[in-house]
Amino acid sequence: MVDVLRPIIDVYTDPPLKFLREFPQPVDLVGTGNLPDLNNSLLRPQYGAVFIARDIPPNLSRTAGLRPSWKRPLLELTLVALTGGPSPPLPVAFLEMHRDYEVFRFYGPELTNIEYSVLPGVRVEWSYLSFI
Amino acid sequence: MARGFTWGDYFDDDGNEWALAVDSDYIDHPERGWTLAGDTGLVPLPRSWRARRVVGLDSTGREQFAVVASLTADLWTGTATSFVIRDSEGQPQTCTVVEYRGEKRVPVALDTA
Repeated sequence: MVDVLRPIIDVYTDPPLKFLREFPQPVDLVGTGNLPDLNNSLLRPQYGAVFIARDIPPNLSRTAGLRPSWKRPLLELTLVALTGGPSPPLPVAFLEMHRDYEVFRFYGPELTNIEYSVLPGVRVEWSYLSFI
Repeated sequence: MARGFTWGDYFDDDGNEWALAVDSDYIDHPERGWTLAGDTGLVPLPRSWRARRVVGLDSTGREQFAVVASLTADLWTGTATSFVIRDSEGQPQTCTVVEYRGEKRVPVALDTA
């Protein structure tokens, strides 16, 4: 029985990308705040997000090449999650977006909120990743 | 608009007071925390030291700097999150703070003889 359940649980907690699709969010990110609607559906949790940076100021330092990397992070994310103990939610991961397109994977139901900070002048379009 | 420099009071991280030449356009920006040094005989900040400063980005993403007079100035505590500079055409440009750089010093021996 366990042999049958394990792959199913794995797909639910860490699904392959081919089982997911983007759900574009209506409000672009600027400044700082929390990603909205993080856990609004238990049946369709989020498994990550896709971010596309727009309006990047032209004088920011960056590498040359097909997919340039900006020196300063265009977007910073702090993943905050509940622990099993009595302590308040803890920041458990810090993610930086240095390219104008990045996909970050995370398992939504464990998280209480995700803080974001966008570099001044930058606007970020984004989508949640959820089951098809 | 005439530019130039004015002597301002700079307080290092230990609270010692020094004189530092400050761009006259910026010495009266309260968030930077400057007061006029006047004719007080203060010792100038050693040339090998680098005063604390904040780094900001202007609207084009270019890095700009603002030297901050003390640890309690609004620009250093985070109460103020932006500062204004004059660009090469004399126009004000607002810069948003993205980094704080502490002062750097090397040991100096003052000639008190």
